[in-house]
Amino acid sequence: MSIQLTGITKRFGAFTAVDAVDLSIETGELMALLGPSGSGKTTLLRMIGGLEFADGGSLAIDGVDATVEEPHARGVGFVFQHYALFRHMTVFENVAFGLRVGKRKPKLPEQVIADRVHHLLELVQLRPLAQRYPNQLSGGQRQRVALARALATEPRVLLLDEPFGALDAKVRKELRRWLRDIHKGMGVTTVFVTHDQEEALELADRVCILHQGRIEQVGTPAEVYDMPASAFVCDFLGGGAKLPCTVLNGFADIAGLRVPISNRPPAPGPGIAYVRPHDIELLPGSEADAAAARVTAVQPVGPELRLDLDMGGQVVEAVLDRRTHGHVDLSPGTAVGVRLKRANVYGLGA
Amino acid sequence: MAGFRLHGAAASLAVPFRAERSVIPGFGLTLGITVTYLTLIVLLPLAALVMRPYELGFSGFVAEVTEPRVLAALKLSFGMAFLGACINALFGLAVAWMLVRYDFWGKKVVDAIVDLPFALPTAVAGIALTALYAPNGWIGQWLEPLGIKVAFTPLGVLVALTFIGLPFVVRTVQPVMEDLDKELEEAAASLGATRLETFARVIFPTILPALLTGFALAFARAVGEYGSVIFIAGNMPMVSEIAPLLIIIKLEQFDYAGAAAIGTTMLGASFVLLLVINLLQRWTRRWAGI
Amino acid sequence: MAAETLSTTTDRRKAPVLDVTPPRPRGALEDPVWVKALVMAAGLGFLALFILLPLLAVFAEALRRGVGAYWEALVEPDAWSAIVLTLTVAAIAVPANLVFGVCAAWAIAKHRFPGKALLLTLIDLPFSVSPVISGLVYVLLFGAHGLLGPVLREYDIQIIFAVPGLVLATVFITFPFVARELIPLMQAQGNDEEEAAITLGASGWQTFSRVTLPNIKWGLLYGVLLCNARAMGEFGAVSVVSGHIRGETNTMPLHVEILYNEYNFVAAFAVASLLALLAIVTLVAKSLLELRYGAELAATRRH
Repeated sequence: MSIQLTGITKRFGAFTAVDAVDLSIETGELMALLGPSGSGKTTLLRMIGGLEFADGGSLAIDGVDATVEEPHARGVGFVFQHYALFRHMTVFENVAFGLRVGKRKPKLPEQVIADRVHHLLELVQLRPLAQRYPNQLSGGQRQRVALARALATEPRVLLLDEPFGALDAKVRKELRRWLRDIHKGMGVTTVFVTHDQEEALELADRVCILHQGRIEQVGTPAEVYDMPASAFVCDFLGGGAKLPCTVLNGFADIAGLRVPISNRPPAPGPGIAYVRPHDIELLPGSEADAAAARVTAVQPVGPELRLDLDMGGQVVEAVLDRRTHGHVDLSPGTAVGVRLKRANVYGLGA
Repeated sequence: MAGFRLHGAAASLAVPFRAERSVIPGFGLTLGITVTYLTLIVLLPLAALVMRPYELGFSGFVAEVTEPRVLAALKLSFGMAFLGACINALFGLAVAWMLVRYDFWGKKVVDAIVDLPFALPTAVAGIALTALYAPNGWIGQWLEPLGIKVAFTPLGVLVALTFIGLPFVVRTVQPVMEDLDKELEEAAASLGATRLETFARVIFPTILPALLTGFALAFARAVGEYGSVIFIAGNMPMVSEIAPLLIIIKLEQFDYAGAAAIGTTMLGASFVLLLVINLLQRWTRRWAGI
Repeated sequence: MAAETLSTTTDRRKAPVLDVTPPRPRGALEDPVWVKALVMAAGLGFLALFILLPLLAVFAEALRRGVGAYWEALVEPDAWSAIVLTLTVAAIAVPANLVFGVCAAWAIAKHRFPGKALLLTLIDLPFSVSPVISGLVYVLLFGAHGLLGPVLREYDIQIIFAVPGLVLATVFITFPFVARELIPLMQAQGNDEEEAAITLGASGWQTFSRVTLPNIKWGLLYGVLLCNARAMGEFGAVSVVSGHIRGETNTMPLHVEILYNEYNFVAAFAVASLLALLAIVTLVAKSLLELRYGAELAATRRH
């Protein structure tokens, strides 16, 4: 189901949490709302779910206005950050809750409820734990119960607030893949909130990046990563070293080097360039189009070699492949030549 | 997102009354019931009290509450309540320290009975204390030869008011002591402080706000106390007659305005105390970092 | 043996004055024995003098003339009607404050609105008002010379010196108990579970009865317990509005007073012992709740 937000605004007292946001989410899409804490992403998600009501603007689900609709009438399933499982109910009763409550007439037969719940628990691989209570489950299991519970009412839209925020790194990775599979299998329109850029880029079809209640950029993971629309987006997605530069026609001058601009070039003049560690090349000796630098620190991390380079007073970080550079002497103090493959560049005014 | 809530709560106090639409239903109904019930049961009757002395006029009001018998009663109520709260601060601190720091047999029972003055009806406490401290009572018979009279004197009032305020200091100081960071004391000890210095300079300043809060609560409770006092006090005008009793005497003489004048004075004192307690609690919270 | 090897380091505590812990070296945070002894003596002595002795005195005085006299004092018609009246008043006041407490907690803990702090202070108000004043306000409203006295007389409605007055004064006195217990508890639990229930299609009532109520039931019981103890034991406030009509407007605490003033000490203490038992039962139940469900009760533990 598609969701259309037009000029949505939410204020808490004098503080504007969400400021005139326009966003459309397509049917069947997996959309990430990404931003630092305080960017308004959770508030936006809660407004889509009907847990907060907008002070301005409108919200349509499938073209039908739902701005003031109650949550259950919107057909959304909501997975809370801390799961919000009913602590006095078993896993089974938690999942069955949505099938028992409301003005459902006639009531669903117990057999139908049991079948549906067991099917969902099968889906989230928790069938053997149906009679457990939430406090007897691990974090990852609770998360899956919360998801099964949200899916029980067959929502048209699934909303997840920081779905993996409270989990440790390994479980996080497993659940990410698993959520992706479930989304693919069910095709339900899904929106999730995260502050973890890696999570957003890995999981989502499209990413919406928020900052101070406004949208900075919406696009596919590749689009936002390759062509960050603003310095904020670039910085937030791991922009790399931040260097002063001069924007010229078609390229940027960074420390005397001609560097191709990978995003949409700003108007000529002074600017800021972001160079990612992978876009820094080391050259043996000093060549014509390389800048002189000195290694200040070196740290092997798994298959990579992380270097801190002093480039005329600016510290930049480079990442090299250990297999290809393992034999080169890069101990601190070594002088090297540096070439910058590409940079994201923004005018100072922006 | 927690930041939003904080901002919202802080800012919402500034805007005129407007309930935000919330997804959790029943706000109008429950707030309506709350405010109506509060108004009917508490606010309107209290308003009736505060309005009543108007018929006396200002000078009449002042004359009423400065009448020697009234003044003596107010002095007794406030004075003995203050002394009782002091005793409770001292011994309550010892009880709290004992309950938090020491392990001993029957600790749970001791902890539980601290609340007895909350649970025991005041009239029962009153006659029990009288039975103990009367000249022929369990304790009174030993004090009598020493020339100490407790029952039917101001001292009896003090005993009753100490009883009634007993749990307050313990129950406010106890949780703060439990939360006391052990590392603070260990740091003090490792820096060479003696046990006494550690207590005086590290522990005591931390629990002081709670101690004062407990003191104020015990004081406030004792000022208005009636049931446990009237049996043991003897109720001699000018000597051992407490202010709440005087209100009842005035009512029995159908001197409603006079009763209301004393009542208003005591209510005013309660408000001031309530304000002080609130400030102290805010201080406690900030101090304890809760 | 461990105790043996340790004993060399425990030399400084030569005099085991009050040995309440097994011998072990004194840690940096442990008090010297004499301090421990002093504090324990002060604390236990104080509690014994002010709590244990009065409690014992009640039962000792009640049974002074044997079980027969004790029993007679309890089954005497006036005592019996006082017991019935006390139960009646509590049976009205406690549910009334229960409903109020739940409503106030729902509005305050689950919603954002301006003026919350003021409302909380006003709810606390009856705790800081003298019981006598709690009775006085109703006399000033409904008494013969009260604000509404003439109107009530015209319609022949009796509030003061009658059961309605007793109920009102008791409601006033016990007003904050349930609300004070539930508000911090429900605030600490947050809104997540309620919001989850609502997104799953539950109605307001379903959300309350199936999600909120199970989460607060022990806190609710705790509040009701304290509320009930105070309602049955209240003396000052009901004393003002009762009129002390034997067999009609005498609650148990008032009956104790009358018997005592008539020098019928055994009967007074007999009725008082019932109230003391109520207090003990309340304390035991309260302690059990704290032990068993401490985590589910609110953190605030005073009143």
